[in-house]
Amino acid sequence: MPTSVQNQILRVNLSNGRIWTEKPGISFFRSHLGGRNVIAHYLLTEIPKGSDALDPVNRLVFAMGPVTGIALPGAGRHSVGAKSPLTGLFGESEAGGYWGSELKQAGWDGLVIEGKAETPVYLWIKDQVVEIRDARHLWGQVTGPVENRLREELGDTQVRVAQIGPAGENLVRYACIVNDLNEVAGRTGLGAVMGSKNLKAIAVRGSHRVEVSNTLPIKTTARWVSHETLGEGGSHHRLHTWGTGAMVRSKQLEGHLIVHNFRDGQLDHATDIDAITMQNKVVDHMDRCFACSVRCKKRVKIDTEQVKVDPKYGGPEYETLAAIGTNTGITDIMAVCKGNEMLNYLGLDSISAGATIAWAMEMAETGRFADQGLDKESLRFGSTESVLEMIEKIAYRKGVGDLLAEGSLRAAQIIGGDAEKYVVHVKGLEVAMHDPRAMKDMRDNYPITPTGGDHTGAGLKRTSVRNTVGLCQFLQYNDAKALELLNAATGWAMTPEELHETFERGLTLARLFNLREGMTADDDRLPDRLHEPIRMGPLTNHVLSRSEIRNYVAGYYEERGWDKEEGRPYTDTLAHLNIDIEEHDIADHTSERPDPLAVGTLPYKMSHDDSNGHAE
Amino acid sequence: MRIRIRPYADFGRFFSAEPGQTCVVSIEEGATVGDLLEAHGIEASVRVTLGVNNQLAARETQLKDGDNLEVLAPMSGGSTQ
Ligand code: SF4
Repeated sequence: MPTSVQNQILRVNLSNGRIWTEKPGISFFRSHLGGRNVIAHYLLTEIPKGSDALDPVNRLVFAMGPVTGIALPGAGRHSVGAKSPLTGLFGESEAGGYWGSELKQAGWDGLVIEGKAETPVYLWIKDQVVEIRDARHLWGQVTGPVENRLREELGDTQVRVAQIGPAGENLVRYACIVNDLNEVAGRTGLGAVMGSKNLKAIAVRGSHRVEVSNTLPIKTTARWVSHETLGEGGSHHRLHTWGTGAMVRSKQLEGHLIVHNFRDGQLDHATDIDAITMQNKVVDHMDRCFACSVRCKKRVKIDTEQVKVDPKYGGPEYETLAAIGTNTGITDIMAVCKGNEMLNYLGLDSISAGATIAWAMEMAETGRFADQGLDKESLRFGSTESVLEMIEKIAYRKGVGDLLAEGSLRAAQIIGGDAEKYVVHVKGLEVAMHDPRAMKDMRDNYPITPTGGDHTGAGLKRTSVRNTVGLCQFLQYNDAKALELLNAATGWAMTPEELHETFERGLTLARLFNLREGMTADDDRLPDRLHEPIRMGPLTNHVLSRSEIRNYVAGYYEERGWDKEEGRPYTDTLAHLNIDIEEHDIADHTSERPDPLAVGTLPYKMSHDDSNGHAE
Repeated sequence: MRIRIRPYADFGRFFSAEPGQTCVVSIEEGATVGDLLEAHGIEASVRVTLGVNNQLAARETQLKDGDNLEVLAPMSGGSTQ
């Protein structure tokens, strides 16, 4: 029977040059699906406890989902993971574009890289032929010229490239992995892991169509997206017309725009960088990811005397508009677009970069950066020069950039005093640009996400299922639709219960990895700043209490089948999920359920999301 | 009285406004924001964020001649895009 899962993981050891194929079996893919669940499996199974994230033993895992690469809107997603050099915990981030579907079309469901090359190299994957090639001539270059050079060298303009920029080479702890020049696996510092392995790029060309078991539901859904939902008033129309960034004005009025290191919820002239201004002033055209008719990706072109921005580096998404825009007090759209281009060609995560700069601005403003020679004039909220200069300094670890390249939490610990109190992070990862003081889904998300302050919902069912199946979060597919698409692609006839079980399995594996690496329940919390009221706007009297978060987290542990004090998985939960305690050396991080479960009761709470679906 | 409306997201279709543009509508004296929205087909059950003259407003907010009304998709409690 044709199926979209090819049962092939490409393994590469850069220390000894060994390349091999692993076939984990269809039952492995059925129980893990793909994305972050597959990543959690490899991290827990293969990385020795307590290893340094920049040591060659770290595994850099690229994982597609079962639907990645099929002809369906939203099916161009892949995930990247490793032990994070920023948090020391479960590191993972997902990206769109074309690279992941190309790797799938080359016949691979995943790619696991270990070891470290002696000198810079790149991987060339042409279907089943894989080579490790010299990349000394590419080292030190920014992303655009590297992609051009690789395409020239390989004699094929359709080659898809995932790569690091100078930031990854310089082991900036929040360097990202850039694919197709404008898509990034941004969070948790995976670019530094790639840099630590001396791996500059992975060039891919695949020539096979990914097979599916049943084309009809896939075709019908693709038609529904392009014919019905893209029309005015349809569920994808807003994204198609404006892209992300349409919410800047809503957040401004409601008073929870991210401003001045999360202190203020409003900023004068914030609409100068919203989606409408962008469309009117700088957007050249809207682009898309693989097979997606929604086309929500802004491509910005600026060609003035003062500023030039090349559309091949994309355009700022909402996170970047807020991170290097409002959070640093900038409302100059030209500067934000330039900053976005720099982040993409240098290979830096926009959220962590913007948040770290905003924290540094607050430190300079309050005199805590005097030893670094910075005061509120030299590093100032609202100064476009400060932001653009810092981005460059961080990527090349120049001057104070060397300190900020460590991430805001480490930098605060280095400068000492009470600097840590002002870092807006969860588990060492800078919090994304949505305020949990105003957004309940973020309150429910940040404290328990295994990666830390990430907004993509690794700890929540709806978002996690889409990641592991390989679907873009923006497509309005509900759980039933995601399951229908998964079954059509794979031919597995999975039930909602089995799909839910894969979510619990991946999350519990990530939890075990984190507990093994020293995380405790105390890390499942929000930073001090997010328990303070917002200084201006309609929410100034609203406080998010610590007890509200603690109660929520304890309830969340219980729903997962973990003990409610420490969040250690119960042994019966592990047995149900087929996670072997001996194999994973995790006995110290499990717990016994006080009262045995009644026969036939699930060890976790099953949930089902029916929102945002389409009725046919 | 005449009210200038800036509809965001997909709300332009209720006022025949081009994407990103404003338009002016008339409504009788004493009307609230809610009255105006319902007159244009945005029922009370539709969740919206509202601004009048750059301040957060509600459906109950009284309008006066020359006000600027913004109609937006709500973000609090909302989406992750
Ligand atoms: S909705 Fe946008 S981000 Fe998602 S796959 Fe389509 S084009 Fe890419």
